[in-house]
Amino acid sequence: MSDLQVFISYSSVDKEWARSFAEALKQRGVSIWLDQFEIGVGESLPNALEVGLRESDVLVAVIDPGASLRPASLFELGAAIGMGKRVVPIVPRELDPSKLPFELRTRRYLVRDSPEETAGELADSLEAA
Amino acid sequence: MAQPDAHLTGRLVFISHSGQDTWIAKQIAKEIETCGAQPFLDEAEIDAGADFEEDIRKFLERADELIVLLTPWALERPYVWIEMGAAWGRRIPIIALLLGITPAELQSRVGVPVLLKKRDLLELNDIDTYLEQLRKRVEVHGTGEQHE
Repeated sequence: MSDLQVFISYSSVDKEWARSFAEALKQRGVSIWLDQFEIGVGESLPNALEVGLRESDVLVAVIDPGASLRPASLFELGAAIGMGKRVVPIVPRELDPSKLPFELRTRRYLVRDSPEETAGELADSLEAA
Repeated sequence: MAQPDAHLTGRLVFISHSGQDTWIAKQIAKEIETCGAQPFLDEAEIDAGADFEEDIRKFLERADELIVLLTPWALERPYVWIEMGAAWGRRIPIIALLLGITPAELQSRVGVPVLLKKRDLLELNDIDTYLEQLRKRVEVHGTGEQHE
């Protein structure tokens, strides 16, 4: 079981995949931050998001098959890099890596399978680290 | 510039911009110099090539402030958002200079980061407001700092 907190960054097209992925990680005992779980009634999104980003140790960048890379996701990626945090991209198998920005292309990544399988691989790699 | 690091002293202002806006970015760089700060243009200062992105990263790590020139086409560059995020992460001032898009239009676009605050946005025509603040910050921090 890892002490690391994992921030899950994704584009809105991947809402369902990200949620299943997050739940599978929780099953493995990984501490996660997912906006869908964290934003309670009356709580401000920017504040919760800020805390989530600053307190997490690892950022997982979920890339959808269309590599839509919304500004918000790119911003979160930049924030993790600016803070010196570990970044793990999750990349669809068929995606041409040249479509990814430098900061994702040059990192070791996990191939995107089902949310459960990918969560298992991530949990394994966090435990091994 | 053969040695990217040799000339960099003083308060370093990183200017992120699209290649289509290079002339404007250069004018902004000149204004920054007259304030006593050191501009760095991500397009103009880096030799194109394999190390391009690596060099950008190095400079961004050392920047004291980030200016992002946001025109409608600049919004499409992934690096704009990554650089903004990095500046936010490092808690350095972010100044998004808007040209051709209003703050309201920008903030209403889908997928724009909620962490980019209204106070970070400035229309290009109002740049003097920023330059005045920059002058003050240069006075406080000095012009002769050596970056290690």
